[in-house]
Amino acid sequence: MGVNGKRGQVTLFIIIGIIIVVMGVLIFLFYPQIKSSISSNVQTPESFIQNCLEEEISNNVKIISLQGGSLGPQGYYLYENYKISYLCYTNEDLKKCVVQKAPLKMYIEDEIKNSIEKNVEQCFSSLKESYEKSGYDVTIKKGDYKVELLPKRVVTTLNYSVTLAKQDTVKYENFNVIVNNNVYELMTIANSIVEWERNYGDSETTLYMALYKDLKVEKKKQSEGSTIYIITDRNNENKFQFAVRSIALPVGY
Amino acid sequence: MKRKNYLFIGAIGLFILLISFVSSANTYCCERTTDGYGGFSCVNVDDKSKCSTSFDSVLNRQYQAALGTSCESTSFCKVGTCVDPFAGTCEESTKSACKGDWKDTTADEITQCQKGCCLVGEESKFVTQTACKKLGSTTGMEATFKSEIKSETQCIQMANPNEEGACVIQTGYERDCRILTREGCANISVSSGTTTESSGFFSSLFGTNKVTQLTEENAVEFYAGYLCSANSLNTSCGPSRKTTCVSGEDDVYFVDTCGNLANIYDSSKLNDNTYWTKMMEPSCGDSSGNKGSSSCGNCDYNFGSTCKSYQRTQDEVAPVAGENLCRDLSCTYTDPATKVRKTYEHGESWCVSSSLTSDKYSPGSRDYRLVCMNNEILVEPCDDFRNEICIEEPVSNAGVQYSYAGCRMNLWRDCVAQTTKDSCEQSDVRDCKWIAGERIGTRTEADSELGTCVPLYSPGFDWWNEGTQAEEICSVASQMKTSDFTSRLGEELVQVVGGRVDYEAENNEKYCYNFDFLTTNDVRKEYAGCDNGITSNSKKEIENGIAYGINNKGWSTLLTIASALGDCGAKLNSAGSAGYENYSSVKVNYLISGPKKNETKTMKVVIKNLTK
Repeated sequence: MGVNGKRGQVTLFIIIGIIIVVMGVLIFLFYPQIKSSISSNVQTPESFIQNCLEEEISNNVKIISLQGGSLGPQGYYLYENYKISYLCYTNEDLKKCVVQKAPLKMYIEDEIKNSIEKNVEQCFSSLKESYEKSGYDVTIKKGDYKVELLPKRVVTTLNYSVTLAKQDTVKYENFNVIVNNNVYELMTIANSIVEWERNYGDSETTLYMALYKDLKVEKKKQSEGSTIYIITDRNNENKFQFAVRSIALPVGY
Repeated sequence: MKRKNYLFIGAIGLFILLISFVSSANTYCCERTTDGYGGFSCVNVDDKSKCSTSFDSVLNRQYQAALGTSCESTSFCKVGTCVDPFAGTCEESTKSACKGDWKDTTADEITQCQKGCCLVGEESKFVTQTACKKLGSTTGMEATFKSEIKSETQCIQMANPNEEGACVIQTGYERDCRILTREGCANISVSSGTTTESSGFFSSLFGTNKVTQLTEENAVEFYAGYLCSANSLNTSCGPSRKTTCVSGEDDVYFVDTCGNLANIYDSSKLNDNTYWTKMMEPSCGDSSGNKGSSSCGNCDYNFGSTCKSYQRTQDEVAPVAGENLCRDLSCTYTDPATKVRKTYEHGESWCVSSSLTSDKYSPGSRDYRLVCMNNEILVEPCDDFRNEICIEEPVSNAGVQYSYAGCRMNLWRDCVAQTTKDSCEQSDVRDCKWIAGERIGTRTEADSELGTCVPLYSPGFDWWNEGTQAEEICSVASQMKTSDFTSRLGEELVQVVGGRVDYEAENNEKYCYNFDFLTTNDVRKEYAGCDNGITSNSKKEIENGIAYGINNKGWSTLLTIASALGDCGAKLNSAGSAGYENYSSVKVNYLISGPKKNETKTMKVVIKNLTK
């Protein structure tokens, strides 16, 4: 190769080098997350807590939904191996029932909250351990937490504060764990049915299915006067089951 | 003897009254029962130990109990309204069951409990104003509360999305497009802000939820009523053959190459540029849901169709384009008793009895209401023991007959007390039928009508339970038969045991009989034969005794009355099986005379109807 050929090669390599540098600068300009992710290979505290608590909350919500809003039902009807708690109950015949849980939303939120108490402690302990292994100084300030049923999701807000110190100090506050579940919607329908049962001793299930196309509402009257309701979302098969005993008809006179 | 039945019925009534009086005196109203008794709120019990005395942190006191009064008249079990001030919900409850703020009044009288229609984004909810504000804050969208809308149905129909259109986002030389509302499109900032939406080369590598910085050279434009596939918009989106279903919507929609919704699927418009330019109403179909249509996705849930993925096993034809069509939501049902197969439309309901015999109200039977909903048959049992029966009515809509069924209370309890045919058959107040020829209760010489009012739909009894009323109710028929036979045949009757009378149809005088009975030596004897009718003078000799037969017409009537009273008398159960010793049975009184004259034996006469 002659002198001119070698010069051409060098020029080409220089040009390629300039292009690579420019591309790198452009990437860093438009995607700052890439820069931060390179400097740290642990997940953020928010995502850690989300991953740690999400499954437990989701499982507990499912169990609570199948048992009439209770994790450990006391007053319940045993139906197909489920202890389904009564939302409205009377032990007498021909009498209107008495609502047992009001507001139902608050009862369910408290049940979920109580069900994850130990898990919250464990998750923050695990978080501390994980970051300390990566060389961080971790300070956790415990606070209260609450569970809220919202449309299409269950949101757990934890007023904990986590401070991570390494080269910089970063403080994380108010963790939110979001679980996609439409127990809020199903519970709203349950409340409406309980209102009908309380006033009339019965409800018309087809009305709800006509208004809400994705809903299946089943009513199963039992021999001793109780009625089991099963509300199912056809899209995701989420269920809310509960029992009622209202204006029960006696056998004989 | 004639007054015996009346006195007996009166005695039962008085006894029940006395029992209830005594019971109320020993009744406790528990504000809350113990955990062992279910932890129920405001329940009447018969034992004070079932009432909890625990401290309640919400009430800030111990739970109470009251003696000799029902819960409705206590102050601590008074029903009021439980308000959740944060969620904005109001529910009827007692104070002890309320975890929120309890008000001693109904929800109608509490301003914050008044519901209206909350419009949030594209949805509408029938909630209180507080709940509406909460919805707005949690979704980050503007929430409008319409207090003048007073019904949930009306509110749902109000759901009216804001004006939608093509939101074109120009980033460099790329023209991306999404179908958004004007507000949603405006939220995508043009200056140096950030957006949750991004497009372009880097997004395709790293995903669409990354931060994108838009510079002043980029632009966001909203085209109301336009689809992203409109040629004039010059976006990267275009028509496709794909379709999709949308949650909460009935119809099948076209989808463009960018994944945006377009107009409702119409196979004739696949290559129609006009149909891919602007949002428009569908023009295809039969205006009754287009069930199973391969070419039109204009479904209608009220007419029994909705968007579903095509399934070869369920749908007769495949869609011309895409994978979705208007699925027919009707149901096919085969009656287990008659084996007749019938198709019911979505929303129809009908009645079915669990009885496999021709008697729908036989022991063990129960009525069910079946509902066809969304291609699925839902089974709703009516109340057990035939306390409810299922009734079915045809409903006409636009010339088409639909079936509608419902469970309603079986009004049988005052049948026996009716003494005339007219009062008996008042179908608006009771479910009874008149059986002429025999009478339960008081009968005077002046009575022109000889008959008994019995339940039209024979009720069931829990005869296996202690304290059941089955024996008392059924024995009313037995009492009646004794007195009537005495008066009509002039024969004295005593109880015997172990017989069977086979008889044929009512109008046929021939009958056969077979008596197995125990003598005083406890030896079992059988006596059988056939006759062409029994008169009051005919006698049948039995070893060590004489049995008097009875007119078989009377038998039939008495049997009908006994059967109608409930799970009494000679009948087959719902599975078609007979009762005692493979035959149904009823007590009968007969005289046995001879060497053991006037000695009484208890005989259970077993009856089998040869025509069945």
